[in-house]
Amino acid sequence: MSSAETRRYFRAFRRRRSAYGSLILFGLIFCIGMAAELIANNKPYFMMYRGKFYFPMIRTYHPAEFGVRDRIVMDYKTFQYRASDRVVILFPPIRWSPYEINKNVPRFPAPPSRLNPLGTDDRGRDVLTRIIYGFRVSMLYATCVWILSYILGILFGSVQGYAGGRLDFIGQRIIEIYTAVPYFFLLIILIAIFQPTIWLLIVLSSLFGWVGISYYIRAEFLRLRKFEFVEACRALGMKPGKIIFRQILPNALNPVITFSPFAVAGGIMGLAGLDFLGFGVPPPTASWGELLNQGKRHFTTAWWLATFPSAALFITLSLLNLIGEGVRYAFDPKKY
Amino acid sequence: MKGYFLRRLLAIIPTFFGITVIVFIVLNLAPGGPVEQMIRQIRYGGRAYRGGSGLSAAVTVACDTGVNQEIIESLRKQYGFDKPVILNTRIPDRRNSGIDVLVTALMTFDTASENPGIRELNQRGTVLYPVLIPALLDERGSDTGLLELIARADTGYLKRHAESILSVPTALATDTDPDGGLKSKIEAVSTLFGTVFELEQSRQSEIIRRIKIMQWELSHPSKRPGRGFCNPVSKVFLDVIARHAGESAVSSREQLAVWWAEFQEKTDESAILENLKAFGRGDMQAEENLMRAGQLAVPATVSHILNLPPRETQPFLDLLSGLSAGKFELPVPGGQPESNIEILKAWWGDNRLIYTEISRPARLLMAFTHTRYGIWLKNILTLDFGQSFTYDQPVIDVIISKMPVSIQFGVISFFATYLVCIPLGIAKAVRDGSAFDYGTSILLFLMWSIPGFMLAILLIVFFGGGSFFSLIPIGGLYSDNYFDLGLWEKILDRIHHFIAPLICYMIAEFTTLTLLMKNSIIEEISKDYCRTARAKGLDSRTVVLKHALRNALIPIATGIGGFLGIFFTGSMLLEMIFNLDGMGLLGYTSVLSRDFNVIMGDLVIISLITLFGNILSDFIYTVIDPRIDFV
Repeated sequence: MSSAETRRYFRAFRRRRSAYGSLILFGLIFCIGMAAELIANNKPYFMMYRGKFYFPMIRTYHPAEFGVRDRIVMDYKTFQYRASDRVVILFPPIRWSPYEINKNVPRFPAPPSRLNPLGTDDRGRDVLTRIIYGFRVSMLYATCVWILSYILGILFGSVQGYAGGRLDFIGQRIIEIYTAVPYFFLLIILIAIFQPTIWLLIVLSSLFGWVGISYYIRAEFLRLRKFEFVEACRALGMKPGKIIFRQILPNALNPVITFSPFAVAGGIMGLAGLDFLGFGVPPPTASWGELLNQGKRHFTTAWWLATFPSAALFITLSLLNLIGEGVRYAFDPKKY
Repeated sequence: MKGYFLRRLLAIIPTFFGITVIVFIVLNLAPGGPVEQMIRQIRYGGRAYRGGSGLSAAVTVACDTGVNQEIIESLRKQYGFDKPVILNTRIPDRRNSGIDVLVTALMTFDTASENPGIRELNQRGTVLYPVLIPALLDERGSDTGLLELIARADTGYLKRHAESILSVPTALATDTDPDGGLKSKIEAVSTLFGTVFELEQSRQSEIIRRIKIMQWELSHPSKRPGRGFCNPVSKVFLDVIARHAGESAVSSREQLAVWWAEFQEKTDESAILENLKAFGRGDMQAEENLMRAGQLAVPATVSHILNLPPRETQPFLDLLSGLSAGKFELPVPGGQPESNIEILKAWWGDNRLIYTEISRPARLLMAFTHTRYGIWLKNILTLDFGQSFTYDQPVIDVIISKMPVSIQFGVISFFATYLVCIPLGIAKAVRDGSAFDYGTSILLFLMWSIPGFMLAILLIVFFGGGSFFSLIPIGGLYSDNYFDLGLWEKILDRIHHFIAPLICYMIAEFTTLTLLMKNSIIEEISKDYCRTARAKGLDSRTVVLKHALRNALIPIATGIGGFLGIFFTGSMLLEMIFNLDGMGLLGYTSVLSRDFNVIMGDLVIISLITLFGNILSDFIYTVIDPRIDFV
């Protein structure tokens, strides 16, 4: 894809204001999520104590340095200091860590309050903080699955499409087997057998997620391999691997780009489902599905547990879908 | 076209084969195998799980804690853990068959033998020998004769032949047969029978042999032979006890006493104990030592029991149960302990191959069928998925019983979706670009970003009678008082319970289907034939509904086949949230409880339905639009 063409696509994308706005907004949310520690943390960015500077987010200090004798781990939020200590503390906007329990509320889950703007979950942890950290986990999962499964799908699809014939037939049969086996169910079985970690989750999901994109890549390759430039490459004696990845693939990337936002959205939704069933990231990792599960369990008492993670999920998915629509529009304006 | 679908249908066979391979691999990935998982599941609450791998460990665990032997045997059979995984290269041929195997087995007592027949026999223990001896003496012991003998080998038979069995040594003494082979065979047999019948004469050699076996067992703790049946020898032993005790004895304790008196006259207990001690296992204080001593310790234990006051007898009977790994029940005189013939029949079923001749093609076939995978596949093809231990009934029955719920929701949500989406799509297409189109598009777009299960949770939280409104029930198919209601109220109750899940089922496909419909109509309207129709003066309503709609439905129709999966299998997440007792919930709970048989059955059936659904959607495609050609 030449850069002029790319610029043309980008211009088309920018013309669609809903998509471009969503991209910017999503980028913003993404940055917040990636910098979760800077947004929600129970340690201050920096602290001045008796004329010295401390950076508790980066370094761990022993409470004794601040004259606290009765603790092993420093708690900056309840830190009692005298005026003579000349203390200046700069806290992040949300003063909770995702694993920290709010001990000041009578029972869990606690409703939204000044301390916990979105309430606490059933172990007393701040919901807003966990939503922010959960976004990062979701994005990590969705992005990794997207990349891995697309790599697999591109490999399978391109080889199948380029080779055609018998290899293609066998590949199609294998894919038929793959698609017939219920993917979500199989994933859950495998996760139940192994001890789940997020990386195992990513690998397993990718192993079952590559089929969709391979269809499109295969179709593109079946079309493109008849083109004259491919013939020319072959006449020049180029090796098949080089033709596939250097010559045809760059021309066949349209479906990859157009489906990517939806793939990420699907990944986020999938992880939420897995976490909801308890087969996702291991506790105590913050995750939206786990919050939703708590919301279902405490549906009579804690509406905030289901509502706010749902809103987060809904907003993220909407933004991604809007971006996806924009990309699709940019690449193929006649369909919509 | 017919040829294409024929080929597609035929392609189901290899595809299904592939699916079974995947399911098989997944099931075999489970650490320790499904058998171990299930046993652990059955006996949780018992002693701490001892590590180990494979079936042997599982069986050891089971023996320790008294998990039902039958369960383990059925599991073992079902998963074919006595067989190689994919390819069986150890199909016995003629050289190893028949009497020779038995004789070698009897004489060598090599529990680690290369020959599976010999190994098998030696692992099965001496319970078979009384049956086999007449066959050996009778030189006509052909394969079929042997089969009959084994089939008839109940205790009654043993009793009738007891005399001939006991007279073996005598026969040996008088036998001047020039065939030294037979003589040595009988010699070997009689040596073996010394264990039980003539301990005095052959005690020394017998004990030495036993000790050798035990040494082997101790050095191969994971491969203890015969743990599956756990010492059938003691069964023989008990038969002998019963016989010696005679019919006159009244209670089991008295029987024991009578027999023991007789036994003591013939043997001296101290010699056994001395040998046990010499082997370094002390007396019977420690359970572990007794386990190692095997049935040799039984007489000593019996003696001890008899010296105890009656109410202290029970722990030692339990001890004996541990030794023989079955319930230690003293046989009632004249009664028929049925398990003997059952054991022998099962044994013959498993080992028939060793004693019958197999043709070359049959052997080739067996290389594939006589494997874990082969047996498993055969069971699946006959829809035999085994027993579900959580539901305690055959898996296929469980699955069928869960289907109606999933089908109800599948069918209704399918029709409801199409009933709403198609008119909506048409309306949007006709008013393309209007405020209505724009507004519904936004609405549809928002719905697209709502996962069904999230909506389900929100519905329950907000309308399920928790913090806000109480409009919908929180789950289930009907209310608790359903069966007291009148017909009309019943229908209303069902609908009341249906609404919330239905909305969540529908939301998944709603947006894509509506927009597909809309785009499809727009595309058709812009085609020449529609323009012609309008140029002829037809009003646009007729053009859309009569001309364009038919063609526009083609892409929609392909979705029908894909729906088949949800039709039958439901949605795991939604069924779980709304507590609908369907296939999805079944899958979820069986994964949680590690009910591997149900998981396997569920996987295979869902896959099959999906496969047929794919073909169905292609088929519908061609039926609606004959121009489409897949060939």
